[in-house]
Amino acid sequence: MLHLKRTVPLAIAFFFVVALILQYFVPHPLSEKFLGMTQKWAIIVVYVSLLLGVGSLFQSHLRKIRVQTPGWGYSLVTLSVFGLTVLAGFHSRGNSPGGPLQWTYEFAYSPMSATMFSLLGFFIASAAFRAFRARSVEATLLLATAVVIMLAQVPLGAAIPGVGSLSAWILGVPLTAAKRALMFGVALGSIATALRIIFGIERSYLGGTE
Amino acid sequence: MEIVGAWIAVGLTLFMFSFLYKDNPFYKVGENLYVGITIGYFVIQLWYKTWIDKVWDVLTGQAHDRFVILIPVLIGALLLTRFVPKIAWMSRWAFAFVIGYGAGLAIPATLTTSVVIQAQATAKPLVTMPDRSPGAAKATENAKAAYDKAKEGAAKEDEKIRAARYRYEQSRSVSEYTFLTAYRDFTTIVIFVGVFCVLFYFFFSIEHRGPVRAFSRVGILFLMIYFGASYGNTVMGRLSLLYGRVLDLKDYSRQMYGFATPVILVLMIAVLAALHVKNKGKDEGHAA
Amino acid sequence: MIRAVAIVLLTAAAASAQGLEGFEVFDRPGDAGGTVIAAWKGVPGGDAGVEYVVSVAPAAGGEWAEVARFASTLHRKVEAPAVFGYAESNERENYCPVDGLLPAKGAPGLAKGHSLETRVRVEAFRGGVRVALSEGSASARPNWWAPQKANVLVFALLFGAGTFWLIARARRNPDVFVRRIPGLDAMEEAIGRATEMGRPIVYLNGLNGMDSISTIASVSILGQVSRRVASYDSQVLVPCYDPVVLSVSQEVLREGYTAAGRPDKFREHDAWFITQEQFSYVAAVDGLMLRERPAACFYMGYYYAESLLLAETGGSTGAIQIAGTDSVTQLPFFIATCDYTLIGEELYAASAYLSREPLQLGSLRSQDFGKIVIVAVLVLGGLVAMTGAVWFKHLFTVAS
Repeated sequence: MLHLKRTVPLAIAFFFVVALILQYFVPHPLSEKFLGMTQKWAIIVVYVSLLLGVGSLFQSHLRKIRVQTPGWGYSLVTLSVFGLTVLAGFHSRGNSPGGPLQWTYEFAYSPMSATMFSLLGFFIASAAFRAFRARSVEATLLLATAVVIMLAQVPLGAAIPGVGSLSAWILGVPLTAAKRALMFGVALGSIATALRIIFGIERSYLGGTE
Repeated sequence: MEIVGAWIAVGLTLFMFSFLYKDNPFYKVGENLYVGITIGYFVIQLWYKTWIDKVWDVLTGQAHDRFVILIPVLIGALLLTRFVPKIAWMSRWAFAFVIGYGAGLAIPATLTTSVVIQAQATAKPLVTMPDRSPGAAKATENAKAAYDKAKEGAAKEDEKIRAARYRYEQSRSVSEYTFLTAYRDFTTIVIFVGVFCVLFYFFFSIEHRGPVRAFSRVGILFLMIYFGASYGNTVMGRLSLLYGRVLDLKDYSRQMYGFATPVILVLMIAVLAALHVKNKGKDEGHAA
Repeated sequence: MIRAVAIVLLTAAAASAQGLEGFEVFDRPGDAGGTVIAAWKGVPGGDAGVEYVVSVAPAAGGEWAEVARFASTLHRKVEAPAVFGYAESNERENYCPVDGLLPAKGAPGLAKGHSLETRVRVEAFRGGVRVALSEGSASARPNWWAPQKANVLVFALLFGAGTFWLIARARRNPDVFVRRIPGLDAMEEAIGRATEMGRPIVYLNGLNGMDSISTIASVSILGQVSRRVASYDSQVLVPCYDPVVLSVSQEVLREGYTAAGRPDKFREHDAWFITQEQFSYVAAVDGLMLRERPAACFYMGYYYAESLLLAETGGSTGAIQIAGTDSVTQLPFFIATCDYTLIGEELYAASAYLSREPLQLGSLRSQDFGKIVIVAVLVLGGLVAMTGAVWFKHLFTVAS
């Protein structure tokens, strides 16, 4: 039983990591076919996993309703809107133009999505203020650079002598250096993590060992 | 239908904006509606775009290997064993597939784009040796002639003179060691020092003390400049998003939409004020 | 390197037309098949003002069909270093890739990537007069090895072997030194603070799926966090964006509580799925933060534009915030809003650091080993480049 619970998943992970690494160096159509097939499989697995998500969503909201935790009524909103959207989707046979799902998309989903995204307009300012209050050398340097780059993007700021060239220099020189080193580090870190999977050291995804 | 849509759009927009005031019933309704809609939408996508298009149509097609498509469906189904505690461990096989797939794709791609190609881009001469070949000298000579000619012939065409001078200076910086060559070398050295110090900052095997600490400090400063630049680059884009949203609300304030924005706004403020009065003293005020 | 040079049929078709210099036709190496290449060194008398016309015909017989016509300044070998390397002469020599001919409709087919034996004819014209003509034939076939990626393979093997060696060394000598990482030490404090305040910890795994290495790193850290949470008798809430990540998180939490000797305290519903849409997920998590007022918020894994919406809201509740991401575009926002931020590679070091497991720490050493190799390459590259040599740069070119 332990083999099925532990060895088999380790072997599956090992097989796909190694096979996909080798695939990268093999241009043969069979190798491309393997890659295409695995990618297709991954998409399907990820989509099927959404059923797991929906199950979990129902579990957590039904629990709130059953236990009547504070605000349980809002769980009713989520579940009923979910049901209505699914009905609208089947009625529209996917997302036919002019159907109820498209209407929901246009007048409910899009405005809410755009509004949440636009809240960043407020938060980018409040975060800058938070950093400003930190008063550390690092935070000051971060903000000062941000101000220079921002000024260079607006006509009024770009008119200040030196702002344009300083901004270009920052983007071309220190930024390149930091970005490159950061990329080296991230690459090494992620490769080391992947190697830990190959060597079977990273097995936290298997959870319990029994 | 358009007017109903406008009222719903405005209502939901203001519900989400009310988050800036504090957590309140309008926001909670908006949040739960939003989650319900997106999940419902994904389920429909799953049914039509994945199950019908990618699985059912293949299974009912003519391809001789059509049943292979059942393998990922089975792998996906293993995930659903999570709902049956006794056999929940089978879901690990599916995790292993997803993790193996991701790590296997990542290693060679990351090595290529983030290590090998980046190393190549950094490997530049730290000090440029002037190119003493006759070709380089000739190129500089030609560029100088072109520059001189531009100065004489097109006195009023500043742009042309500047371009010719630029070409001349570029040419000269290859065949001789000029100020421009020195500047280029300086840039290369700064990038080199930056990369070196930032890498030092990430070094885990030695304590950051003494000279090591100095290097890693410089590394942090480089990182902060990078992050600051990235921050500054984003600000205008984010502000324009907000501006766009406010413009939409303004648009919906018109008579043709039944003054949706002001009416809903006033109603919301009235309800929130009433709630505030009711809950006075209880609330801690969680303004965001 | 498999480089099949086909039989070159040098035919001086007409007395006036000589052959092209060094003409050859061969299967394109390192590809998935389908392409043959005609390559030549030049035309007798120089290629100034010369126009080339390339035609193909089945080797078994059939009419010539023109497939390309170009001036001699185009299609230089220097454009295809993966095939011709970096010889200086490549700047003066020409080549032309040609699709290998496939069987006619109804005739027996060929395996993917294979083509019929294809005759390729290249004619050179100067001022409208044909001055040279060569022809040869080859069939396209798929290859099992991409020589142009050899440098990536060498680095992968080097790094893999280095990691293996360092892990084996850590097995023999488990005392591996790792410097202090303040952000990770602060995690411990934050968990203690949560217990004192009787408030939960919110832990996010980022917005990528389980196929992303940063998510793997993140759930690995969650494993370490959950052990401490269990032993401090605190609570960690894990709202998830991805159902697979949710399942793995639940497994990891269960293991954490079990390892800490508190399996009874494990609540599966402390990790739950919200939705897989960016901003509705944020709306729900922000709402959760405002209602639960967590003592600490941990943001690990990969994030997109939502990072600031999460961290600013978390910050406004007064929680200790610790982020760790390799999402370089979002790092500035975490740095501005969080108390501690694990930058890039530190995310990948976190799990090893917290676990203190010798094998994990050994693999962490391999990251440092990789950095030493990179620094050496950069120094050497800079010095070699000063001599004007370009071979070193080419060692690190992944040619196309």
